[in-house]
Amino acid sequence: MPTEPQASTAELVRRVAKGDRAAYFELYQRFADRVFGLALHITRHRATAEEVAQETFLKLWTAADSFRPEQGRVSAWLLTITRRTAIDRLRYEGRRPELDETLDIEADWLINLASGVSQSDEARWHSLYFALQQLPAEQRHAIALAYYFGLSHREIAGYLDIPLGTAKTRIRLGMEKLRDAWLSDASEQA
Amino acid sequence: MTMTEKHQEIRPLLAMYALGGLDAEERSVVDGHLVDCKDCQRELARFSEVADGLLQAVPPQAAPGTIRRHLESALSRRVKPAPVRRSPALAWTRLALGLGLAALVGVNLLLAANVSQLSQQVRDLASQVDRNQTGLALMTYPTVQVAELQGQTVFGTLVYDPARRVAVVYAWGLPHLPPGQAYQAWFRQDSQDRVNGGLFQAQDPDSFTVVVVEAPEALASYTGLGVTIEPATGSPGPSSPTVFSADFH
Repeated sequence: MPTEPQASTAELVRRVAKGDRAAYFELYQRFADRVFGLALHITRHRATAEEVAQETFLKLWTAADSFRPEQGRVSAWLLTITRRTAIDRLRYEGRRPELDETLDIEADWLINLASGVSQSDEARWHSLYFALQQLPAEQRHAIALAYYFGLSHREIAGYLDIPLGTAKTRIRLGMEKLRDAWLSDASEQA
Repeated sequence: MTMTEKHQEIRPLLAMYALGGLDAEERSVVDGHLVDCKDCQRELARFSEVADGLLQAVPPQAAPGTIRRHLESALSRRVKPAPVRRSPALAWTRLALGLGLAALVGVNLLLAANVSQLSQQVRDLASQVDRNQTGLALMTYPTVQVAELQGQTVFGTLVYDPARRVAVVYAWGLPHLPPGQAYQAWFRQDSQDRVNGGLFQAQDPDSFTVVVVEAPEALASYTGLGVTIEPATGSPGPSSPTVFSADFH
């Protein structure tokens, strides 16, 4: 169940849909670092990531009235737009995905105290990040190629030079481990 | 196929479904099964939580101040259209752009509704819509400029912001090239050197070709853009006559 202050961020989006600039920049303040972080993670290029982040927030301005609170968090909606925009940019530029080989388990985790996100949510996401880094490299890479770079099963198999069935298995096994870690974390926090 | 057999076939696909990586045909098969299978609905919901978490799990990075400044500039002109400097001869350009974009949106909707088309066509469509969105987003910037394309059989406009590295080309009448060839964009410098702006193919000779070109530096560093026909793998420099060009103001 979402624990972010839905009434707060969803209300801000409603106000943005009516042209409220103050609400818009409040949302920017809360989510810019996450949006830029995801854009940079996918594109691996700061200037491109800036442009992806700008496009994301411009889409927020023009499409705020399309957000439906019953479908999930504002942050997930924004990050989905970011992911889609970054992947399309990579595809258009014909750039090959760059997998990050460094196990950055203790990466600097920039906490935005003004984001309105609860500490328990931050902790769960940090744990999921840790669980992802703990996966066997072959499973982590397959999931990253699928989700962060938008490749299909066949494209992943081609990129990693493995059979199609192997690509499917690696994704399934990796996601099952992440699912178990995610659910285990939820029960610990309950 | 029994329900149990179907269930065993579908279950391994749920993780990839949550990651958005199934093609249209696979997604349709899973959707059909999900209608009646509560177990798979629950399983998919869990995988979807993980997928959402994967978005949130990427470490945040301090967003550069330039992003907010650009957004403030864009929104400061929200009520009125962004001022666009153009020559009087381009008075027809806005109408042509509007009609062309409307036709492109109409074509996009038709293609998207045709579910028997393979996922590659859907991806091509998404890229085309994204190019349109890039152009539309660029037009909201207060310092956006429009330059007329100069060519013997090709005409149209180049939309760009001198402070940015990305520009959008709207070109009418650009013919398809034979296999093994591609159009290559070049940014022209004061020194007359040419810097690669990327390869592309014509989309439809009877309609617009929309291309997003990108330079290594802000476009204010260049005097214009030119396009030549090169090998499909690209060329280190222009090796054929210019098909069309545009001068930056």
